[in-house]
Amino acid sequence: MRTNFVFMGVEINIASRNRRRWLVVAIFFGFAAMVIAWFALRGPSVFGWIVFVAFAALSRFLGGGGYTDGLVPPFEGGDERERNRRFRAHYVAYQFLDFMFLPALIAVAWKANPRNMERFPELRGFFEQLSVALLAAGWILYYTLPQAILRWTEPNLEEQP
Amino acid sequence: MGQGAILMRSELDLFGMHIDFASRARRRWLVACVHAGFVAYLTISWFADQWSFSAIIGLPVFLGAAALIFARLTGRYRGKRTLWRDKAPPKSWIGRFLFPADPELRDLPDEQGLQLRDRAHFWSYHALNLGILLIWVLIFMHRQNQIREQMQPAVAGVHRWNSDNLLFGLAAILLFAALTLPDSIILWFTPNMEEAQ
Repeated sequence: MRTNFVFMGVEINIASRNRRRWLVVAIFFGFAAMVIAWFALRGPSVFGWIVFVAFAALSRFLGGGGYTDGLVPPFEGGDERERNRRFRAHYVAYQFLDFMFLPALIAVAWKANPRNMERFPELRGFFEQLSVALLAAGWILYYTLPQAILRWTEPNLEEQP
Repeated sequence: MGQGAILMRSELDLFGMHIDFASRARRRWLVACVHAGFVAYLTISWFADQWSFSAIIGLPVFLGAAALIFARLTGRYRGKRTLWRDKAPPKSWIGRFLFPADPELRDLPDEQGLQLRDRAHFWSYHALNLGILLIWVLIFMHRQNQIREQMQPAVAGVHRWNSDNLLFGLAAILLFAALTLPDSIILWFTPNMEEAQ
């Protein structure tokens, strides 16, 4: 795994576990801020596309999957130990996946029912946006959580004195 | 397969019937029936009332029943004899009194069992890829409908119905897959327990 990267011309060292964890927190804070802002901006807007582009850039930066230049190496190849760590990270991520789609399903079901929309017209906009935001959040977590877990659990890579 | 597979339950009391699941062929039939049943349920429910009342009642029942049966078989919710924990649960005071010499780790799956569990989740995770990609397509469709609705309120109802129902169907399928896929893989690939025993 990479221990440094260049951000706007500045080389940032992430060999220490602490620093890596801060980076993971910052990335997820960014994702959460984007989804909440998207949720708050009701009605059609171009903000969805901004979220999509920002997500694509951050996900490429995180690596994993088929990306070769990210913080996490691609999900193919590697030795036995590396493969096992990858499998374990997916197992942990899956625990979140189980419950990620339940609130999205409830919100979509509420919105899709025309009776609810007739009975509570004032909540229509709220549920419209909530269902989309929850699905988008699930989508982001699906693509980034295993990589984040791998970076989070990796031991300190700093050279010991 | 090793000790990990033997920790799995080989029999189950299902709807009052005692069924032996030691044979792999029988487990595969169960997995195939549950998945085919879900597809049949979604299809019938669509033609019955377009996933409105029938889905609200039937979906939680179907999801819960399928997830519980699979979990019961693989040992996900089986207290101490579980395939899903990394650490042994603490022994109760009765256990400490009655079995003081019993080692704490007696009920944990071995490394092979844990690897099977992790690998099944890895495969399931990637099997969901297409469905997750479709989310973005449907969100885009949904946005287009909103724009169309603002511009042409007369035709909005038809498009809204389509995109809402597609989103609901996709979310239901993803939830079902998320709840059952790893267990299905484990049940499908674990070899015959009759031979192992």
